[in-house]
Amino acid sequence: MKNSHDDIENLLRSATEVPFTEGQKQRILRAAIALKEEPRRRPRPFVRSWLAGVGGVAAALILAVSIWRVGVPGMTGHTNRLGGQTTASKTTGSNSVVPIEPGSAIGLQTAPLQVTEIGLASKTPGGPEDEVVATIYNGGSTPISKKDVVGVLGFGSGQTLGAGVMPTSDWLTFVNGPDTPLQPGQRTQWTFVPVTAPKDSKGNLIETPQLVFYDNAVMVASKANMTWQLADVTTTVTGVSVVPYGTNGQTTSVQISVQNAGSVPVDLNRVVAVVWFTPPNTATDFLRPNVTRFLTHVKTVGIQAILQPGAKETLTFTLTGAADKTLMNDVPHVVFANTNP
Amino acid sequence: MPGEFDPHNQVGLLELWMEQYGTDVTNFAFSYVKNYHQAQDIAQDVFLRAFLKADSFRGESTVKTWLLSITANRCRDFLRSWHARHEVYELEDEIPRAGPDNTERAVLERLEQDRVWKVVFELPLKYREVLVLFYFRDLSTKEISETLGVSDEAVRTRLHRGRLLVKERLESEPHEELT
Repeated sequence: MKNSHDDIENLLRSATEVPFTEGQKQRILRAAIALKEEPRRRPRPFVRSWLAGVGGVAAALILAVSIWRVGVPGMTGHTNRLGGQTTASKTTGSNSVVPIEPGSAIGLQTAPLQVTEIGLASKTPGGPEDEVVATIYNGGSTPISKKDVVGVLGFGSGQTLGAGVMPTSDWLTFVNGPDTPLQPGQRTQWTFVPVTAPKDSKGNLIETPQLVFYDNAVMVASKANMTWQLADVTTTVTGVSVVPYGTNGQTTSVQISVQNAGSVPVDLNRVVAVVWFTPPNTATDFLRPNVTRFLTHVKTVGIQAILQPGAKETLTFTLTGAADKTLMNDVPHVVFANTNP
Repeated sequence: MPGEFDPHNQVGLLELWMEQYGTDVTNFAFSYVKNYHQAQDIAQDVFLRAFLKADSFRGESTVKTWLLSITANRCRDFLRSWHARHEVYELEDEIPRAGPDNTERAVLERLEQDRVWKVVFELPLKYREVLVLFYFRDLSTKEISETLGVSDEAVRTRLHRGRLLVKERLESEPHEELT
């Protein structure tokens, strides 16, 4: 067959168009609104004021072997700092800090900060149910302040907290404790606006919130009442960039290469990623005070969700939170924990 | 008006950009990555980056070429990534064999069967870029030059050679000989 110039041009113009759907537009708008509004959230007592997770490119994790490198393709924003290879266990130089090793189990101890009621509310009169409101109670014998605890807030269809929030949650984030110290026997209201949690078209949160607070340090698994089993994978952080947002916020992109170092497949749909940043040469874990931490599921669209032994995958996390001027000087770590220990 | 940045209505502007150029960005991304879902992810990334950098847009190009330029850069980054270099996408791999989203399945099936996309995907990237922008997205050679950061002359040369390559491939198709 002979193809004339016009035939070819007509043929080229007849290609099937890849749709840009209304659903995708709405997802992008929600992510953009989250970026826009989060740093400007009005001051509220007991509100945890950072957010996590913009949809986009996304990702997964397991324990951290970190290489902090300059010039990652596609990363924009501040120049990354050069740094050496670091493992999480090497950063935990203090005897009091439990090493975090791929394939190991770590312990979390439930704090005496109890959640007695939890539900949804509207942050604006007449608006959608977009805010989590909980009543928290100090069941211990000493005051509890923000630095003493780390909360895990999840959304899922179930309400079983016996094994923690992770197994029944579709969406997760770390949250802070009360902004002001809570005395023993005292209770107060705690609120949080999870801007990227699953919502319906009207902006109503559509799943059941679950919240638990843990003490502010990782423990040896046998000495804690909650165990997180870390997936046996190694990760290499290949790039981190920060894009300032507004006056109080920033979006952090963390790109990693993850490799299954074990002998069994790892399902990235069944792990959650902990991404945290620590000051250089500081022995600390992701629950410690003054650590910038993120908790997220792995987005597996477009990647191999089942990581066979020895297999590698590249993942990118896009995480938005309060501005942290020191973050680009800090050492990044990534760990993957199984959601069904 | 498209192309003018109103700092007080960034979200509205983003919505306008998506309505006007969402399909352009998605199709251009698809032409690089050959994967519908990856193209969606890149489109989202492009619009969020544009949203965050809207105040740096100086109007030296049109919004359309600005967005497509971001798209090209993001796609090139993706193609340089480990994942893209080690995984081969096949359209049929994407098609959900079961599930409620029949619309998405229908789109993916149409894309899989589309002869034009198959031919275009066989072209070297530098020809694919200009052909897609010129024929699929109706950009002028000057706009393509701005988008890709190459000279107008280079764009015209690539268009010419790209057309020849398409012609060669079409004429080598066995079923075409029979029709």
